[in-house]
Amino acid sequence: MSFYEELLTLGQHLHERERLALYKFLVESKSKTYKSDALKLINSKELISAIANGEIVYTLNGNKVSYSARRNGTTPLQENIRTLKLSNVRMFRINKLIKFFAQTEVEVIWNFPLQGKNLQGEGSYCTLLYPYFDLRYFSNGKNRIFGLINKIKTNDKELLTKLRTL
Amino acid sequence: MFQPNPKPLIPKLIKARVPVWLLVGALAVQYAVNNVAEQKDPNCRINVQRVHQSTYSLEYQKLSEAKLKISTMCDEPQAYTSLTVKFEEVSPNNNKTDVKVIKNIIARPNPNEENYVLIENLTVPCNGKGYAEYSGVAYGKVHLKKGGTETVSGQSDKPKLINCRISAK
Repeated sequence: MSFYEELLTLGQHLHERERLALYKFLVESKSKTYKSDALKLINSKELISAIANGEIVYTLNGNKVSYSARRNGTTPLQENIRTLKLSNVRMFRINKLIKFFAQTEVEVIWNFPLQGKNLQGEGSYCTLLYPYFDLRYFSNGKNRIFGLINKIKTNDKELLTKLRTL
Repeated sequence: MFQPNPKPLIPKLIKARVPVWLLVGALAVQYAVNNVAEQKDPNCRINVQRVHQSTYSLEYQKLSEAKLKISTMCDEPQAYTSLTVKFEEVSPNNNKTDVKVIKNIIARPNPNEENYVLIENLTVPCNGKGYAEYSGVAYGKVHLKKGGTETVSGQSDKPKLINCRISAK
């Protein structure tokens, strides 16, 4: 089992540093898929996707994208879990959507993992207020400049190397 | 011949001096006020469990970590709970030092249990050797599905001694 496959099963045991590394890995490894998904979403206003043990429904309403998700095999969707305002400029819009897709997939992997060697608890759907592409994530909600400094200091080379080794 | 004017056996009804529409309006207002008074305020409570060592991390990931579980429960459906959580080291003279603060955690209830939220796995790595006592503190808001928020705060009932040192970086 690769490290990536292992992370798909950890769920609530997925550490913060692993989630961040996973986000970076998804952005770089799935950027083509995400770009094509972004175009589909812009054209049809709705996109259904899946990762780990979760199903994702993206909705584009005007300039706002949001996602709802559910565990596979269950009916009720967790509605509008995260919403993001997009730019009017097409290129920026697509770039933001790529980051949004990666963020969403990390959150779905975290909350709806694949069956692993351990039972998952019955925890609620957890997220952090600031997504990884917002510098305030790195400053715990404070100044973006501190966030940028902390982002530069982040060292996740080891985790990224493990993730890239498929 | 003098004829006394007989009093009518049934007295005349006194003509109402208060308009009927005003009476009906006053009754309606009274009814509405009573109804509002009867609607109870939403009640939410938070439960911060004791900080303990994560057996999962130790057994499966060979990591020593302190762990905290927190739940919020309301008597009506929640949209989500947003919390700031602190791990505090408690010294023998009862001084408390924040060793880790996790801000802006958002947890949404499962659709089949909308009054309840459980944050299962808040962990902090033990990056030093030796024992220390820790307690958990959490505060934030419950955002109700019908609108409005309820402030919640709580801490674990007493500090727990665990084989873990968290350096406050």
